Amino acid sequence: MAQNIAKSLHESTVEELPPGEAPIISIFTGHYGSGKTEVAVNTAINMTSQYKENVLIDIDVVNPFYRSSELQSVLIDAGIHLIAPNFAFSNMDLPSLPPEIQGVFSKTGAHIVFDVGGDENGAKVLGVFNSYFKEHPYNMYLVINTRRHLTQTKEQVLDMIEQIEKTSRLKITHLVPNTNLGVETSIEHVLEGIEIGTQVSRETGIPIAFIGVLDTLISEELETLIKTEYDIDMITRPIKRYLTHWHGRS
Amino acid sequence: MSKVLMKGNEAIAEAAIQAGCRYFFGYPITPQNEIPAYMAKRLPEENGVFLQAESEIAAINMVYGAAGAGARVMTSSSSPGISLKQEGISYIVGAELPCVIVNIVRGGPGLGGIQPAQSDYFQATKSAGHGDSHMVVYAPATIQEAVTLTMTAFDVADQYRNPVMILGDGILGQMMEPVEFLPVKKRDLPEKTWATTGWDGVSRQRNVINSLYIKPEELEGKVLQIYDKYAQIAKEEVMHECYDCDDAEIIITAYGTTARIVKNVIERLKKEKGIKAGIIRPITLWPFPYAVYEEMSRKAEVKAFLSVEMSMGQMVEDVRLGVNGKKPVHFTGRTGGMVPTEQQIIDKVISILKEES
Repeated sequence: MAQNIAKSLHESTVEELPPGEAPIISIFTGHYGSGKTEVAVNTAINMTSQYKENVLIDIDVVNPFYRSSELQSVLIDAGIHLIAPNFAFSNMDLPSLPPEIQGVFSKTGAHIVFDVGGDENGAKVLGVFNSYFKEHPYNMYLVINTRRHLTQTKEQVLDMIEQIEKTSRLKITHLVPNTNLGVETSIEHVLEGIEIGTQVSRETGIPIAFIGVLDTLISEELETLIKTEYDIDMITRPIKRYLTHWHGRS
Repeated sequence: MSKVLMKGNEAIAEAAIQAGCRYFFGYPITPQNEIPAYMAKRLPEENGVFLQAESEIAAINMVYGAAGAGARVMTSSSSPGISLKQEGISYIVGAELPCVIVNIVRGGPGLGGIQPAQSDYFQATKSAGHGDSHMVVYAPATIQEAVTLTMTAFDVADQYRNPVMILGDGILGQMMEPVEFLPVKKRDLPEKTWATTGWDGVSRQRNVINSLYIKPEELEGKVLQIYDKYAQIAKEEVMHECYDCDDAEIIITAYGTTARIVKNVIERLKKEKGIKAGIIRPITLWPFPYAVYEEMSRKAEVKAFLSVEMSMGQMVEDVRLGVNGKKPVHFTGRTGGMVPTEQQIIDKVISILKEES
């Protein structure tokens, strides 16, 4: 059971998905405000060296701003090709998807990261690509922030999984506990997220891919603490906050 | 409820519910859609009513009805939607009804765009609607402050029987920060003996909610009575924050999101250029904190004032009224959904100080 809960992103992508025959597809979904975009962008950036081509698709049709499309220059610097909705850089209030997305499924050996909009409403758009996902293996990560009002308990997360799977017509393959309060995140919040994430994993059998931890909080002590507390290896991944360019001081 | 991470729009909606708001009538528009979306989910849990009206005009008139019956009620929109609501807002002022109206401002004029702006300042503070009318206007700069001010807004609306506006912008509506829902200072609020709660023909006089006065003498009397309340609001409810104003050679003024950028600018001016700058951040835009500008303009070390806005320069006119000619008043800003950069403000400060020395 313990081994089932913790499974690294590396293992799951390499072992379960046949390399070389198809692109590696990582879909990030979750509750609105769970930190999907930050986790998706960090994952895409950190894994660029493993693939011959890297693509991030901003498929968020819910948020008008605070979205990965705003990080175009960061992504270009990291060698990632951004595919953004037609309206993302404009004042268009109507989301529509560029046909370029259809082409990514034939990019052999590439890493394709889908940054999906929040909740079941955001996940609905994945249905457009259902015929592709039926034929191509994918990893779908549920990013969970237990400090968000609709995913504070195991029951609420289970409900979110059901809703997202129903509307996307896809299966969540991995969990990513990413509990945070923005700049006020503490170790206690991280542990609280692991606790709920572990409960959800036990109930559903969906493994935890890794724990999202604010980069300023990550340390060996934290990893040891997690290991002692849960008696299993869980991989923590530093999450650098990119979407803060408008915030200023409070 | 311990600290949670919330979007500004969601936090405003939750704060309203916790302040006892049980009725919400609205019509969707970006960038405030999370308010109606949140209300649609949460209000039924509280036995409240969420209704998406057929238009903004319908929504504000439903607010009139619910407020007239004595309920705590809210509507929200963004710039063009608020323009549509203005007729109703004026009726609500005329009928002396309490309600809360949220404007998460986007770029204008016209349909404009969905990006953040502060170009509805004149509309919010000078022309709530037609006729002699005002709203109390709160301008939060953090999500936590948006929570506190939304809760306060319901009390202030009830206390003075007048609409209160929460004026945010797209950034405040969309950004996320940790928030806590703590009760606000308790006010001794009058009972709503005027509300149309159903007349039994015996126990009290008939209550009438109305803004039509046929005789000009009566209408003038009504307006004078409303303006007595406004005088009291100006005395009791004005709010502002001063940050690093002591010894400052230039006083920058900004509200909401822009104030956050200016606070960074003040730190950078101090560290990088050795320039002492302070900020006056109005928290109520109406009533405007004129007195603090008057006070600051008397200080010998203050060389100039600078208003920074996401507009072509609107609040700057109130700053001029406050400063009253005693010191030069400058302006810098961006508009149409563009956000002023720290560097733009720093460059402006340096050029002003050069000009004024």
